[in-house]
Order: sequence, then C-alpha cells, then structure tokens
Amino acid sequence: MKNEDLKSSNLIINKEAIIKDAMTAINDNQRGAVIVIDDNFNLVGVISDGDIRRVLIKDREVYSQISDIVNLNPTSVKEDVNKQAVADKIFTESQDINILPVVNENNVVVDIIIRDPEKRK
Amino acid sequence: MENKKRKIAIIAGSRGEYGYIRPIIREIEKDPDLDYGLIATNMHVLDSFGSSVDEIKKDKIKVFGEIHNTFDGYTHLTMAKSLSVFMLQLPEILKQMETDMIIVSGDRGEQLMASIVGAYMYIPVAHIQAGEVSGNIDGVTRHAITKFAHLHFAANQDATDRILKMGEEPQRVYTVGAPQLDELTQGFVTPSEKIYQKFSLSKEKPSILFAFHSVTEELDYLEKHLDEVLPALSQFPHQTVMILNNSDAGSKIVRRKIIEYKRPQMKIYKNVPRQDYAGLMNVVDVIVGNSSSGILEAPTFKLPAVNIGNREKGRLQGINVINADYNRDDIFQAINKALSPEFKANMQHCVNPYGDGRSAERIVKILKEAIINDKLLVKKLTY
Repeated sequence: MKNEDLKSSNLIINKEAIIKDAMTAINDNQRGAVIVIDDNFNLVGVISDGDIRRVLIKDREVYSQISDIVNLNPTSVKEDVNKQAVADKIFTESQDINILPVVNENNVVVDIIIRDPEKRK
Repeated sequence: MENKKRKIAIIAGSRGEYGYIRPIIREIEKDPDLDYGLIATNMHVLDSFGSSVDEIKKDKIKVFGEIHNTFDGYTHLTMAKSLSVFMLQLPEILKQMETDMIIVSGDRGEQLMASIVGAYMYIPVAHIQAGEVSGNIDGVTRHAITKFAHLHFAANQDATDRILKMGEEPQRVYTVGAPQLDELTQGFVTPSEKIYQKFSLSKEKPSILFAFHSVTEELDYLEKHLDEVLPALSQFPHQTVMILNNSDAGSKIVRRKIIEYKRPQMKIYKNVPRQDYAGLMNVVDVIVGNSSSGILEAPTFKLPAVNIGNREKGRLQGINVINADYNRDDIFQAINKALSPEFKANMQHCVNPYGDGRSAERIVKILKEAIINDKLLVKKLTY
C-alpha cells in the first residue's frame, strides 16, 4: 500500500480523531481495531473495540478524543524483515490481533498486514 | 464529647505525592487515637491519567471526597483556573469531614490551595517535604505553602535551614527525612521478575527508565528542549521504559514529541503504580529525565540518574546524579557516563541524603502530640 492509500484506508486514523471516528473505522474495517498515526505517519498505537468499550461504560463521551485511550505499545512488524512470515507467526500466537502495522526504523507506518479472514477463528 | 479521634484530612493530587502519603496513612491506621480521610483531586480522578484513585481504593485507603477540578487544555490558563475549582469545593468537604488537621505535601498547586483554606479556617496545616528547592512555579508554591502551614516537616538539614530563614518559628520545624523512602526501605517494591515480565524487559540486556515533566515556566521552549532530549535518548539501543504522567501544562506536547521520536526499543506507559515504579528503579541501569525520583529515590537503589535541565536545580543531590543541560551532546555524554562500569562501581558508596526511611512514624507521632491551640494556630515571624 502507498501512503496515500493508507491515509484513506479505514484501517488507519489520525491521533486527533474522536471516539466516534474510531468506532466508525472499526465498524467499516471489521477487524476489531484501528491503527493510530500522527500527521507524519509515525505509529502512535492501536485502538481496539475493547479499549473503546471500557471507556464508554465509564460514561465517556463518543465525541471526546481518542488520544488517551490508545494502546501506545502495539505489536508491530519491522519492514526490513520477512514481514509476512513474522506476521503469520504473530497471528498464530495472538488470536486477538487482526491487523499489524509495518514500521520502518523511524517508527513510520509503511504498510499494514491484515489477517487472512480464512484464518480467523 | 469524650475521646473523639483526631481526624486528619490528607490532600492527594498527583502520583508523586502518593508516595509520601501512603506510609503516613499506614502509621495513622496503627494509632487508635487518630483517623483520616483522603481528599483526591487533579490527576488522581482523571481517567486520561489512568485514574489512580482506583489504585488508592485498591490499597484500602479511605477516600472521603473526590474533587474533579481539571479543565482540559493543560495550558497556563487552565492550570490556574483548575486550582480555583479545587479551592472552591474544599472548605465544605473539610467541614463535612469534621477535620482537625490537614496534611499537605510537596509543591503542587492544589496543596497550596489546601494550605490557604486550612489557614483561613483555622485548621492546623502540616506540610511534608517542606523547605526544598524545585526549579519552577512548583518551587515558589512549596515556599508559599510554608507561609500558611503550621507544622513543617523537612527531609534534611538543608531544607530545615531554608524554612528557618523564611522566618518560621523553630518549634514548628522538624527534620524527619523524606517519607516516600519509607516504603522503599520496607521493600514495598514490585519483585524484579514481575517487572521484567510486566514491562517486557529482557533481564540480560541493560535498560533505561525515562520520566520527563514539562517545566511550567519553560513551556515556550518545551518542544525545543524535547528536540534535544529525545534524539539523545534514541541513540541508545537499550530497552527504554518511558513514563507519561502529570496533567501539567505541556503534558500533551510531551506525549506528542515522545511518539514522534519513539523507536522500537522504547515502550510507553501511563501512570505506573508506585511499587512498579520503584521496581523499575530497582532493575534499570539508569534513570533519565527531570523527575524528582532520580534525586530523591534513586539513591536508595544506588541507581545512576541523569538529571536534565532546571526542574530539580538546586536540590541537594547524592553521588548518583549527573546533571545535563538541554543539549543533545551533553545528555548523550551524561547517559554514557552513567552507564559506564566505573560510574556503576562507584554507586556502592551512594548514600541517600533524604533520610533513612523511618520518617512516617516520626511525623505521625508529632501530629498526634501537637496541642491544637492559639500557640499552634497563630503564627509569628522571627524576623
């Protein structure tokens, strides 16, 4: 995927987004999570259905920002390795991960690997 | 009325203070003549900072009131405005609690508000960690608290001397050590194995702990400063645990910059529990940043600390501290030196200048025995 494609993809949102944007993206991508980046495509983190659910039950507004509920230490893959093999291993070991950001040495998101729907449990 | 327990209100606004407060509460609990209620505010009640009031409740500490005061925005304006909300609500809560005494600690704004309220309501105010030097608005706040407080607890002679120079009467000043060291020496520290697992650290490889607070009066330069600090840090391939905390003006900029410079070896954590933070200090090879923990607590773990910038300038330092300016070469050199075998070997001689870890029992004894009368409540200047 090219950067521009990534930007318009429903797998990725900007860190300034609100909870409703994240819910919309997750609803559209059907992967249970969305990748969060900053304006320079740096990987900020991942936000999942569960992260959102946990704040909503504490009466959080859907119009509030996602910035403080993003998981800042998501599992990611480095671009210089055999990406697909590493990703497959992660998908096998962690059944709850469905999308994986691929980052370069400067923590910039350069690609996204999605779990093969056939291999979802 | 017979034998009413002396009821002490304790003000808690940030994670750092909780470390002073908890050992004191444990001492109060042991005493049948004393009772307490915690008043939690600021970042303790904020979800975005990990809602540490939940940690407090888990510790089975009695929270009498929660005052939600923090406006979003985290600018100088919202910081000042947030304090007014706390001050507005506190008197009623103190009255409902039938407060006999107030404990304030450290140097944050809400502690100053509480000491003003106490002084005006003629409820004696005891101040922990009085007389020290910290390098921004917090430093001013600490000494302003001294003017309102009735009892001053200093961590060392250096601090005591400063309080006396401010014109405080000697019978109000006690050198007791720093109570946040009590738990460290009593082993209230998450075991190393758990820390390695919880923070996904490899035991075999050296590691860095990074904690950086924005400095209120240097807010305009914060980005520039971080553009020096973070590149220096990211040159080290070491596993690095980065702690996000505080709802100060500038905390959002710190977050943004940390993400910008994040490298795969770095992990970011929000509002880490006290004993985990202590556990981290116990296992890492150096602490970097401008947290007071590098100066106050790291010496107990014989942990080298690289102290950056002005925030903790002028505070009494142990031999574990290396100071660095906001300059990436300077910081890089300092971290390198801290990680060197020579420096590490010298750490065996490190003694903590902030006390022996038995402060809480001294403080609680004084609070219990203090006679609440005009002599305590009416202050005189010695100059």
